[in-house]
Parts: sequence; structure tokens; C-alpha cells
Amino acid sequence: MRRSDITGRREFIQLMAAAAASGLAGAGLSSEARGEVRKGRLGPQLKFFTRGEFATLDEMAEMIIPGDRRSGGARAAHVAEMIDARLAESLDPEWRQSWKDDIAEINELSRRKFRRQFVDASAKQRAQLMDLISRNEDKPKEAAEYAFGTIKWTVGETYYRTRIGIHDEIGYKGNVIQDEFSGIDVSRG
Amino acid sequence: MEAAPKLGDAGEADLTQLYDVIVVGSGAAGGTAVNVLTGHGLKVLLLEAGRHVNTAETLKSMEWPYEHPRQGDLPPSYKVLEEQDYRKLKPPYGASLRRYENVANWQQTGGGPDYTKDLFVNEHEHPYTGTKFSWVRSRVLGGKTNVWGRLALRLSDYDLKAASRDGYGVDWPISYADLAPYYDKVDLYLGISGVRENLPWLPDSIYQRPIKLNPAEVHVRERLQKSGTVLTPFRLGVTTEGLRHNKYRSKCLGRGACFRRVGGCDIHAAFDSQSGWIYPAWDTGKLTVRTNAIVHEITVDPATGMARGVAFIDAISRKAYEAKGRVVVLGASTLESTRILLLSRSRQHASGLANSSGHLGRNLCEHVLGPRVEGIYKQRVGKEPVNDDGRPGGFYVPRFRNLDDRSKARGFIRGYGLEGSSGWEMFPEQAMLLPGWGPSYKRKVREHAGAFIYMYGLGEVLPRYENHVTLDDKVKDAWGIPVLKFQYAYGDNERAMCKDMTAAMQEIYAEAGLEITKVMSEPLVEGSSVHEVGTARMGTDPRQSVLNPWLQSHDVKNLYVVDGSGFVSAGCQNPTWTIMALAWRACDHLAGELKRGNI
Repeated sequence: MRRSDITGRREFIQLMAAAAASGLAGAGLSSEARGEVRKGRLGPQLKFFTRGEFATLDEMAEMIIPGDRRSGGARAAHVAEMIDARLAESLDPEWRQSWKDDIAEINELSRRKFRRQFVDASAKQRAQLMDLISRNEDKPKEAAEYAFGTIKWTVGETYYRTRIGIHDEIGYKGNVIQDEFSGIDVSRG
Repeated sequence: MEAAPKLGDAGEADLTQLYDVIVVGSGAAGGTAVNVLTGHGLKVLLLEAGRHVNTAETLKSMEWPYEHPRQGDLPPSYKVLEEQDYRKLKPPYGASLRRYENVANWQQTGGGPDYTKDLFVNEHEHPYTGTKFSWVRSRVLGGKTNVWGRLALRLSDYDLKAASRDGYGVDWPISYADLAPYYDKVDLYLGISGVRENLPWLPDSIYQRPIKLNPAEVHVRERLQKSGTVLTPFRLGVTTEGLRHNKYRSKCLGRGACFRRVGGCDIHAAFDSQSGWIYPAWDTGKLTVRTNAIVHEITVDPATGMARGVAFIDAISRKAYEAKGRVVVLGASTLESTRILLLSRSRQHASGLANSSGHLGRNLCEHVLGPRVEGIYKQRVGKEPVNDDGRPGGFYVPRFRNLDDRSKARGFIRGYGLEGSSGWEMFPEQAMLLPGWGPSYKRKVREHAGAFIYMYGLGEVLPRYENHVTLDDKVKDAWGIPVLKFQYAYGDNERAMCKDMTAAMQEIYAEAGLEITKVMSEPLVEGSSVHEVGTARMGTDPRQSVLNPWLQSHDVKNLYVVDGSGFVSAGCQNPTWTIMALAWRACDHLAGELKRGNI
């Protein structure tokens, strides 16, 4: 891993924190997906990642936000496909490369620990690895820890702007016309 | 709500005639000017450097993220400058980012909403130099009011006479009594929402229906009452009841895109200058509008020394023109108006027009922000979702420092207010803040979505003579016009104020029993408030000020500068409502002077 890449990721995470601090959703990747959604059953048409890279990202995304009885997870919401599409059109070569490096880092770590690619490791091993790379989430130091931060941030930012994320999972009630503001009127003492 | 009139085509503006008044700029100040002046029956030519974007069509306030090809984000050819870019890159900020077709300022932050991308300038075309400064410019009809933050506050004599109270700087040459009737006029004409609190340092307006607070905010309001600090619903430049006299604006329908897309309102319930001032002025038949008109000089009659009109370049054809008027009113935004005055230099006015005092470009000030505390109102964790969204604002905690001996702060003068919000929004901020992964992370994000609460400070930056802008003749914009060079920095007062903001917010969280999840204490980069004022301050002494108390140039009697540049100090209140009250007052004076034959 080149040092400049690590610096890039560190700055990205700081940037995300600053974006959140300014009250606005973080910058980053997301969508262009409806076309992909339809292709989901046949396997996504990848525009940026290799099949192997995509499988790693898709698995990590689903582990971060899994499907459950209440709502679909990142896979059902096609989060990894949207990330793939956004990276495919990105004009920032360093940013694009950093995603490849991040996923390579995860697989490298997985091979070192379990002698298998991330997706080929057992569910228990994958969970172990996720615990390992998320343990310093607040203050990442290792490349894989930065990778986790970037991936989690982007997965969250993408998922919670999908139909599944907004409606099924969060149950957001707004973006409707209201005759009266909801809440408590404090103008009458 | 009626559709926008078609206006602003280059061919429609007759440049052979002498207008009563030429107004340069169409934002809060220029918009007020054209409306008030046409109301006086004057024939007005409005020159706007940008184009007319019909925000009723472009903002799409109710479109869901999943209905947009990039979840609402900008196309990849756009780069938004982030906080770290301003710290890392050297101005001109677009210079090293050539791979992007369009480099937009931080106001487009957060991935950048696609809907507002045409409202901000491209840094490649509009460079500037000097010290770091986030200069947000919106060259479009209506200017920054198309996306402003909507917090509509009044100044008081605590601000206008601050120098007499603490000995720093100079007082404004006017008092609250001079301004109050004009605040009232603006309130009634544009509509404002809020709750009366009877605070001498933050006078009430004439309010329409207020927004409401959610349980977390009411809880904090009640806890703060014990210490005498007020938490009030945002005072909003939004018509919540509608306006009978303005067919172009709907009342607020509580839909809620106000926060997630920089701002802007496709039904014009939130004030913007296009629908609030300019369309009604257009209907008088007294207004001519020319868009894409980049004014770069005020032309002067050498015999009289009076303004003759303005020289401008058509942004598209790049042809040069002159428009003539009996009076010139600059309302091009604080720094663009000052830039035009500096550019209007001649043998007689080597340092710029209206600058015999040498104060033009000086005393640039604004608001400092950055300190922010986020947390959780635990009583709401795990509750079923309700619709907290749909308000055009959250809450405001008016200044509580340096009001009397009891509230005197250690280490700094003047004050700050706190802005904040809480409750369910479309995007659960907790997704970005909660640690972990998997089922428990997902559950926690959902359970905390309505419990999030944040606040941040906005404080006065002192006016300092040394904080200034000049022309940089070495660097030109895309139309060959010399750009501004900044020499600007925060001082010890702002740094001490930021420390106090951070501590005070933490105290509020503790007092209200809120769990703190994040504390940020550093100021954002200079200029981030987008509240730059000063640089052509008003005063009674022509040796110490650029404008008189009517915002009329001391040197050139038929020249008025009605935007934020006339401010003597920034106060800690968001400036838009004051800019418009001052502009209205100035234009009443102007009309009177024309009638009296004094101009």
C-alpha cells in the first residue's frame, strides 16, 4: 500500500466527518441504479469492479447492513451496484484506485489470517475480520481500518437513500404536504 | 401560485434611454431596490451578471433520492470544494482542479445536490487570490437568496451601538429606531415566521404562523428557561400563511426539502428575491431586466464627477455596453459591489470610485462558525417514527454573552447565537456516527433516527481595518476583469469566542440531560458563514467611511451601495433581513432626493 493512498483515505474520512458536521449528508458515492436493479437476478453488469472485487464489496455491504424481517439489507437495495456505477463514472483516478486498494487490502488480510479470500472464508471468519478492522473506527491506523471506514460510510450513505432504506427500514414520514407543522406550538406560552 | 414571468433577454433592454435608476445585482439588496424604486414610480434598469434560472422548475423539492439517477448528487464532472480543500489548496481554488468541468464552492457540499448546481459560480471562471477565504458566489437572478438559510433576524442597539458598549471600533451612524420601521415593512411584504420573545437584544418581528418544536427541543427550551437563556423556533424568512399581495409565492406546505438540498424552495414559500421582489416589480411595467450583464465599472461624467451609468460585458456574446441612468445603485453583494467600485478607478480616483476615505475594501467582517455539538435525546430512542420534518428551520438560541455585567464573557467581546435542530429527517445522520456493523448497527441507526440533536454557534467577527480586499491585476476572471485579492484572518477574539461556544453548548447538553456524541471546536475556514459584510462602511464622517447613513456615497451623490458592504459591524445575527431593511430605507431616501432635485 502506497503511503499516498493511506493519506488519501485518512483525508476522506476527515472530510466525511466535516461534511456531517456541517449538517449535510456526506459526500460520496451512490446511485445510478434502477437499470441495474432489473438485472439483479442475472447478476449485475459491472462497470468498474472485477467480479471478485465486487463480490467482496457486496458481501461487506450486506454484513454492514444485513437484511432482516423488517427490511431488505444492502444487497436487496443494490448498494454495491450503485457504488460500482458511481466509481465507473468518477473522474478522480486516485479515488477510483483507492477503492481497488481497499478491497485488495481486505482480501490480503483475509488470506493472511484464513488463507482464503474474504468471500471464501466462513461466516465466522468474515465476522472475525470485520470485528478486527472496525475496532478502531474512531481513530483508524491500519490500511484495512481505513478501508472499513470508507466502505461503511459509503454503504450507509447509499443505503439510507434507497426506497428500502428510507421507507421500509427507517419508516420516514415526511416529504408530504402538511396543512399544519407537526410538533408543539410554543407561541402560546 | 403563478408561473414566473419571462424576463431578462438581452435584446429587450433598451440601452439608448436614460433610466431613472440602474440597479446592479438582483439578490436581497438589488431585489429590494428594484421593488421599492419601481414602487415610487421610477423607471429602473436591473442588470444581473448571471442568468434567470426558474427555480420553480429546477429545484424539484419533493423528488425522492431514489427517483434521481445519482440519489440527488451532482454529475462526476462537478467537484465541490470541501473544508479541507480550502485549507489545502492555494487560491485560485479551481486552478489545480482542471479535470472537473465545474468546481463549486462548499455551499454545494455533501456530494452536492444536483438541483442547485446552476446557482453557484464555477471557480474556474471566477478565481480570486490572497489568503484563504470561502467566497460563495451565486451569479443568477435572485443571487444567494435562491438558497439562503432563511434565518431572518433583526439587529438591535446592542449591535448598532456596540462600540459605545465595549469600546471597540465605531458605532453605526443609525440606531434601531431608524431601522425598526423598515424591518416592519420587510416583515409584512415578504412574510416572516417566528415566536415573540421580547428580548431587547434580538427584537421581535411581525410574525406569521410559527413552526413548531419537537419534544427534544421543547425539553431543552424548558431547561434553559431556568437560567434565563431562550430557545425559540427559527425565525424564518418564509411565508407560512401566504401573501395576498404576491401571486408568485405559495404559503409553506411543510414538505421538508429545506435542509437536505442546500436550501431553495420550488413554491417560493421561502423568500427569494426573484419571486419576492423582482416579479412583482416587473408587473409594475416600470422595470427592465437584463441578465448576463457583467458590470465592471461605474462610468463617471468627468465634468461633474457624478455617475453617468455603468459599463458592462454581455456574459455570452462578450460584447461591451454602457447603460445610462440618473442614479446608480449597487447591490451586487458585499464583495462584488466593492470590486466594481475598486475597478472604477481613473486618474481622478486612482484607488477606486467613492474611496476618498481610503476605507473602501477595509473592515471586511462576517460570522465565525465551526464549533458544533451533536448528541442524543435519550427519551426518544426506539420510538415509532413521526413526521418531524417539513419545517423550514429548527431552533435558535439568541445571544446570551456580553449583554450585561452578569453575562460578561472572559476573553472576548460581542456575542454569538446557536442554531440547531433535532428529530427525524429523511437521512438518518446517525448512520454516519454510530460505530459498528451488522444487525445491531442497523437497529441502532433506526432507533436513534428521531433522537438526534445538534447545535452550532455563529458569532460576530470583529471589523478590522487590516482585514481587506484589493484588486489583483495579475489575475483576471473569464471575462478579463481583474479579480479580488483577500487579506483576511480571524483574530484572538474569534478564537476565544469559539472556545466559549464549544463549552457553552456542552453545558447546555449537560443541563438538559442530553447525551453528547460529538464535539467539534475548531472554526471553519474563513468566509464559511457566507455572511461577508463591510468593505464600504457607512458613517457620518467622510474621512472615516465610504457611505453616509443613507448608504449614499459621500463622494458621488448619485451613487448608492445598498448591500452588506455598508455594514459597520456584523453583529451575530444572520444579515439578510437587515440588508433588505437598510436597502428599503436607502431607496426611500433616494426617491425623495430625486423628487427634491438633490440628485
